[in-house]
Amino acid sequence: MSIQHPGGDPNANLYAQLKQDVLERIPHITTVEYVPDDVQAKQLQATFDPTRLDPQTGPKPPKLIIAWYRQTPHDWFRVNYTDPNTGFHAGWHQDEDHPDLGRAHFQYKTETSEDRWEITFEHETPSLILWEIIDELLEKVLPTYQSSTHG
Amino acid sequence: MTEETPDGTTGLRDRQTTGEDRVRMVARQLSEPKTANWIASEAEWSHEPTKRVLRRLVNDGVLRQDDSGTHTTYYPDYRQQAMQEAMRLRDGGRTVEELTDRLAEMKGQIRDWEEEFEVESPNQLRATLADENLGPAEEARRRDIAREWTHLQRRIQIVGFAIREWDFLAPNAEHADARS
Repeated sequence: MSIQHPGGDPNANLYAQLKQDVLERIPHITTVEYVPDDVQAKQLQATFDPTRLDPQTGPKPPKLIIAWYRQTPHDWFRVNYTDPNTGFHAGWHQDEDHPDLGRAHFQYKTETSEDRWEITFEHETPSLILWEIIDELLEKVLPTYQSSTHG
Repeated sequence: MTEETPDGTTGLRDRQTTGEDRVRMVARQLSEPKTANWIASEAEWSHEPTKRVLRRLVNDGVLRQDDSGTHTTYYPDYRQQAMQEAMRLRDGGRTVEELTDRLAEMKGQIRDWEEEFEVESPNQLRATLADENLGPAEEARRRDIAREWTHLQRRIQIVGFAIREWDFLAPNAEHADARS
């Protein structure tokens, strides 16, 4: 995907699409904002309603921050979930940080443990990769690494 | 994550999107021309309805269709997406002066990097990783800045377009208003 001019740029409207295709369709998410704002649009930030998560960890809203750049041959992206109630972090990264772990890796960190390993995605489409990540976060990652506070 | 979850329900994606939604998502984000078969498989939807949606997207100018090969292929018209982004900025509630300030800010950020690293482009900055004896933290920082620099250059082009064509991009409702 060589980009000579804006008319051929697959990044121009990408965040608006991720917002519309994925984040705005998730009932657990209350707001989606561009970071630092929609002019620079360096990242997208989604805020979760803490009462809709299972398990519930506390009153502060967890956040998902997405940085995504389309490029050839493979996109560069980092999708990071943080929970201010527990300090829990989970990240899905397709970047240059851990070439030993292949193209993409998952990493997590709790107060007592941390680990990272290689992952692969079923799809090539950014919006569908983000759906894979969200499904994994809600169905597997949170129930596995977060414990309920009932507080 | 399309298989059923252990308790026999489908995942959130399949509850919140239709096959038609997913075909549209896939089609708008293709990075090379693809056949209807490939798109149907990526969107996990059946072939005939996928073709119907693709035809509609071609008619709407979202996709371009190429019949010159053995199989018809489809590719997004990224011009339309750049226009949508410019319109989004035009309708974002800012004045043209505010948007111009932001444009100047982004250009200032790039000038700062040019001065700090004594380079003129993101690739020249990336090349400094080979030239100099940098630690891993500084290497990572320069890679991040190079990526951000490329991104800001793209944003400057779109914001510049929105400013240049400010009056042309005015939404209908504004024609009746006093000029700002």
